[in-house]
Amino acid sequence: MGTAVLPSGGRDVRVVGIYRFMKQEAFEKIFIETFDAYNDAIFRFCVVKVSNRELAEDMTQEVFTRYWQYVRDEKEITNPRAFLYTIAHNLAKDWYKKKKSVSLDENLEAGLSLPGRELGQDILSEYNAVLEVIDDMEEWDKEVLLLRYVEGLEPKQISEIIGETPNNVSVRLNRAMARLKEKMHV
Amino acid sequence: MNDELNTKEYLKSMEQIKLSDSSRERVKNDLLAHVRFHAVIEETGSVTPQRSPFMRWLSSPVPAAFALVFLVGTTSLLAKEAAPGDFLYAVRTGVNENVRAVFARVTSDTKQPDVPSKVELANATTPENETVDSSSDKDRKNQKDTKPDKTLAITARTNTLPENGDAALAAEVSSDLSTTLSKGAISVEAYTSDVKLRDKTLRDLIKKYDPKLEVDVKNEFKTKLDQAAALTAKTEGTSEEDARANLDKASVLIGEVEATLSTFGQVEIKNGVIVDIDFTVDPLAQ
Repeated sequence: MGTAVLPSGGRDVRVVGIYRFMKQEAFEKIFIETFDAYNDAIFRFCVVKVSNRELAEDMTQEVFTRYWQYVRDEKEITNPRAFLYTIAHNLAKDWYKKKKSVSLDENLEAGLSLPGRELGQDILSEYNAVLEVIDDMEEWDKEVLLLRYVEGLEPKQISEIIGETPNNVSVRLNRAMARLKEKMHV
Repeated sequence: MNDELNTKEYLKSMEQIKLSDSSRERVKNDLLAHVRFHAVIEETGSVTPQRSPFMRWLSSPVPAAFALVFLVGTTSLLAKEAAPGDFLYAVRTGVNENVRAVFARVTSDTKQPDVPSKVELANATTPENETVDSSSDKDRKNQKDTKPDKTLAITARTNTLPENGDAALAAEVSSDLSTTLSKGAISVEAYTSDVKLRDKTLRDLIKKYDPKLEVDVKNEFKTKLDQAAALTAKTEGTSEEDARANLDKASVLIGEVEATLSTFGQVEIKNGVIVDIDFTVDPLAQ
């Protein structure tokens, strides 16, 4: 049930119609269902992208916050899953840009570690060895490998998320796979 | 081939990476709080700048009402002395004298010497108004033949309402009805019955659609209807003046509930009372 507050007295009361409460309720239901279905997948994507558990949690929350804005504004979302990945992809891109803009000196002064190397030993042991293996791979490689072989997306779907052609995605997938095999057998 | 399969299997184990239960719960709760704070009922987009009290007053219906009253009043005043052939003569004959005649009819019980009847007006006007004279004779005859039942007249008035849940019209008629009732057009008993009927019908309607109404809305309705019922109960054993004053207040409270309800969907009005509501229709979109 929506918790929209009835404004006290006057015309506002008349504006808040029951159909809006019902709309909030319906939208909230869609939102919760989407969260329940994809929260782990988005979190996984964020972990692989930023290699930091806490940051990945915050990023997951931010992804769904932005998703709500679209739901609330009644913008058309044909494929929520792909849409969520796109938001996460863009957030990660922004995060990388910001990271790069911070100089090494500032980073060290603030006691922060370098981007892409923040997973921490606890996370590695908690999850699995794959993260440790792929952690130093290219960001793009990790992304396409995850989306293709963990999440099961087709190259065409991946191309819509990361803004590349399906052909480029396939090429990148092959190369990433080759590099991973190489790493595994070293 | 086996290498590739093994690598895919190896990658697949990343499915184990999940939010912990506590983290998932926390994120979900935070998101729910956000979703409810930024609910659908909020205006989306840019924030409306705060307007000064004067600008708020200016954009309200009050100045427009003042302007209308001023315009009508001034025109009526200027038309008062208009002679045949003058630009405003039509206003004098078509509006001013009809209005005065209506006032004369309404106050006929306590006949006031300074308010002329339509017949007197017709007699006082120039000979070109013979048609007015004859029509006023007809009116007078009609008045004699059929003693007007004011309750019936009010019912007829409300029956002309379109059943499309027009909130503004419903509110207007509700207020018009209350004003007419309070002016002594009908007895206190009839007025009380009308207020009680509106109160009961609304309570039934709220009960019927209980699951569809938000708790806050129901509380607001209940408070107003309870206040109205208390005021209606006070009318017994009091002077007519006090009784009418209480009924006026009760009627206003009930009117507020009716007005609010009519914004929730398409209301069905019968005999001046909201008897049903269709929540699937958005009245604001009409």
